[in-house]
Amino acid sequence: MKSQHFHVTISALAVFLISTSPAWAVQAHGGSEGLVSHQIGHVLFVFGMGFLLFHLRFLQMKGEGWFEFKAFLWLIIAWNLLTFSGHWLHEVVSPEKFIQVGGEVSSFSMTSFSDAYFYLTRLDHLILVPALVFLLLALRKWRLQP
Amino acid sequence: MIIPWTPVIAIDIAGSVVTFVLAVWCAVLAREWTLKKPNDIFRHYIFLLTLAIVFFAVSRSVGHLLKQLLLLCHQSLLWKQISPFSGAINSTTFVVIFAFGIYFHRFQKVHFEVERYRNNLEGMIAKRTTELEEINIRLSEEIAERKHVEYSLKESKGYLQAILDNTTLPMYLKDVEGNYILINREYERLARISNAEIIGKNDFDVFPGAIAALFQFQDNEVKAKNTPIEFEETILLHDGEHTFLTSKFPLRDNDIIYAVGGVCTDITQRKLAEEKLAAEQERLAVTLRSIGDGVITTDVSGQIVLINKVAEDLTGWSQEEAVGRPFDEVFQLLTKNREHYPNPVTTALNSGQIFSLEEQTILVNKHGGELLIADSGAPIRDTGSNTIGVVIVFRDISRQSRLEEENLKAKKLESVGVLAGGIAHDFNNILAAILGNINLARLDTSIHEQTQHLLLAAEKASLRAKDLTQQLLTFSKGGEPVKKTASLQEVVKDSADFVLHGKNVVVRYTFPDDLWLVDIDKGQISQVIQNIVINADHAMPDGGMISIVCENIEGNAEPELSLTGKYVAIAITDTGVGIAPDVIEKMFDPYFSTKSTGSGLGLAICHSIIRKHHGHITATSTPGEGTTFTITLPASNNPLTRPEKLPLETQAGQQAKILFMDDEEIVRNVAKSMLNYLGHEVILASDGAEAIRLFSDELASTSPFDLTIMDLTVPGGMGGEEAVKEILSRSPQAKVIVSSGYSNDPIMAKYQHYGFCAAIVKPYQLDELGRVTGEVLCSPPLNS
Repeated sequence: MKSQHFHVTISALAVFLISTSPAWAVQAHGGSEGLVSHQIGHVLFVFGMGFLLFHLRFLQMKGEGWFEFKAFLWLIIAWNLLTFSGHWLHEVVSPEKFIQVGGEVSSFSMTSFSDAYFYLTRLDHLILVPALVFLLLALRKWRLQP
Repeated sequence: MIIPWTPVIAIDIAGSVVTFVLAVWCAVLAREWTLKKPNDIFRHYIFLLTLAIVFFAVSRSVGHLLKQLLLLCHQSLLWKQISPFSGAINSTTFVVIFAFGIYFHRFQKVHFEVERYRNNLEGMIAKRTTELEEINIRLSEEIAERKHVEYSLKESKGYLQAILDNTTLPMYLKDVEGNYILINREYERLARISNAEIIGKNDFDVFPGAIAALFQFQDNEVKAKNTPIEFEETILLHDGEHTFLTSKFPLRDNDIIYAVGGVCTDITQRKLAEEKLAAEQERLAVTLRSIGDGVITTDVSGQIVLINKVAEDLTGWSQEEAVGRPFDEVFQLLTKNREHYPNPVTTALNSGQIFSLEEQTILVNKHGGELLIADSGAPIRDTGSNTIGVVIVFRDISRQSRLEEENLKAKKLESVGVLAGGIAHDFNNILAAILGNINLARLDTSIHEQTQHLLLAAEKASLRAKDLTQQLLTFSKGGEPVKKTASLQEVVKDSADFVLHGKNVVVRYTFPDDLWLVDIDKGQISQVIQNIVINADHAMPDGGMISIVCENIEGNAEPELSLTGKYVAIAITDTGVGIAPDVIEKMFDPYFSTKSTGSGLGLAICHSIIRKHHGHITATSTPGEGTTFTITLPASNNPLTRPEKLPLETQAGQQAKILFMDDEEIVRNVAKSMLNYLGHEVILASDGAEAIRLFSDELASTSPFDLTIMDLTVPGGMGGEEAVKEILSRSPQAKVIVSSGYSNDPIMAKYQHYGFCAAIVKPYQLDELGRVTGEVLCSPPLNS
């Protein structure tokens, strides 16, 4: 039953992703296929980490390191969601919003909430680095265990 | 609102660098954590997941840094060409991470399973390890113990070998097949075979067939009975025959016999010693059995250990019955006063000295019989002078005691005889004169009738005096019986009938037809019979019956009297008042009498007469029932003595010239008167020498003596015995009569052997003198 539910969810996401129009990722991918496959990758990433987090809750993994690991998972999911939305917004944000000086982007014209959100997604390291820090802490605790 | 883009770039660069560093760090930590438990599949999972994330982070950081670098270098076109690869790598990494993510629970499940399995396995391993450790410890201990045992075994084996090789007993060990496993040096020496040569071989390979078969049989018996057995075997070795006592034993392992061992003890010398000891014991036993005295030995507790045959006979207890019993139960002693006698064994043990019993000690045998014994006892000591028992040696002295009593009586009688013999000669001479003169006086028809009566009374008194003298002479040395072969029947019957004539007593005689003859002095035996019958008559004042039984007895029919050969027994039994036991013991003593008028010589004379006939006289009596006197006399080997028939012309009145020799003048005178009265011419001589001279003178003349009568004994001069030889030497045809007051003198009994023609006992009466002289004068000379 769970397996059947899993397959339905995957299929729905695939349709959704395919039906979306081409978008610019934070880092541009060539062609729409690249973006779609990359976005699917994020979705799978999120799904995988969420699945992992889900099982960890049921497994009641207590003990040192697991809190940090869970935090890592939550943050990495958050980062995926942020970057996923960033990739999507990058496709829809107007190129004029990027003010270039000498052929290089020097500033961004933030005129809407989505512009602001887009700008925020470009700062994803602010989530990714803490996530890795938690992962590091978790591993460190585990390693220090007798 | 225009917002600078620089923060974005700065955070991207810085974030990428930090991300890169953190990612690498995470990879290192994840690897270290994993390596801490390499078999933990979950750690491997986390490690791989981390690697995927690290790979993602590193690739992204590198991509971002490369992008920023190219953009700064105005190489945006180049970045556009590279960026698809970077994005594809990231996408791929996402998929990988996704894959790891969705397989988390699988890994987790596998991890738990593996962990559980591992835990179980580890538990099992731990348990097994613990077990193995314990086993290892035990094994180590066992190994140590085994090493110790091996060491001890080696040490013991060394000791064993040393013992085996240094013992003087031959030893061996064989397996169940009978093959030798080992032998010791002594065995090697005796069998002259080395250990190396005998190992693996059986008895048939080493010994002759018969011996090997014997050994095999013994081994099989030990195996069959599964117990040690001792065998005695004699084997011929190089130095001769040896006897061994071999103890064979099975060696078992969990009751399974795996070998048979043997220890041989050479008992050759011991065997010889045992045989010697057995022979010595046999000799001792034979000696003890053969010894004439009873021998009983006891241990220190007084239990009988040995009793010999004589002791068995005397006590009535057999060896089997007596051994182990207390001595005083078998050997009951009484004093002569019939009091309990102290146990001689106790006496010997207490005193530690040799001792003898009191005289007249009575032994009461098993059957209640009593006998007098002489006894001595002594403690038996071993080589260390420790008392280990007592030996009692005793013998039956009942017979000896009786003989001593007999001898005592004989000595008493002999003393009487000495006295009697001393006076008999003179007394008889006096009586001869008195009696002869009375005889002659009574022949005088002119004397008054009253005087005749007085002379007759005097003659009777003289005859009683003669009888008394004869009785006294019975005791004297010269009172030997004048024996002739005769049948007792006539003597006994005549004697008894004579004294019982007119008495109120019935006599019953029993004489067998073949009653043996005896050599007796009829007068003396008659005197014995008369004395006993008179006593029997006196014991039955109201009358009664006397039974006189004669019978032949032979051999040991009377063991108490120790008679051997043929005897004739006369048993005279009355039904009188009987005799008390204490009287029986003394009644044969001279001068012992229970009668107020008795002389005390009657039974003493009987006793003396019977002894001189080499017989025995005993008396048994039951008071109130009667008394039995038993006389035993040796049977004669001679034929019946028949009296010589004298010629009819024998008469006292034949005229003869007679030489009469006697040392007593009164005897010479009365004899001359009597002979003259009988019509003879008489010449007298006072001793033998004168008689010889007169005989020789007359022999040379024309009228020699027809008869010579000589006294046998002449005090201080030649007697008849010597004189007759001279006379006969001068005239062998001479007739000589011997005369003596010693009626029982042997010469008087066997006068022919001394050359006399007859004998006449003084005092004699006229008719007796006439009869004797008449018979001699009518008979032919002795040497005709």
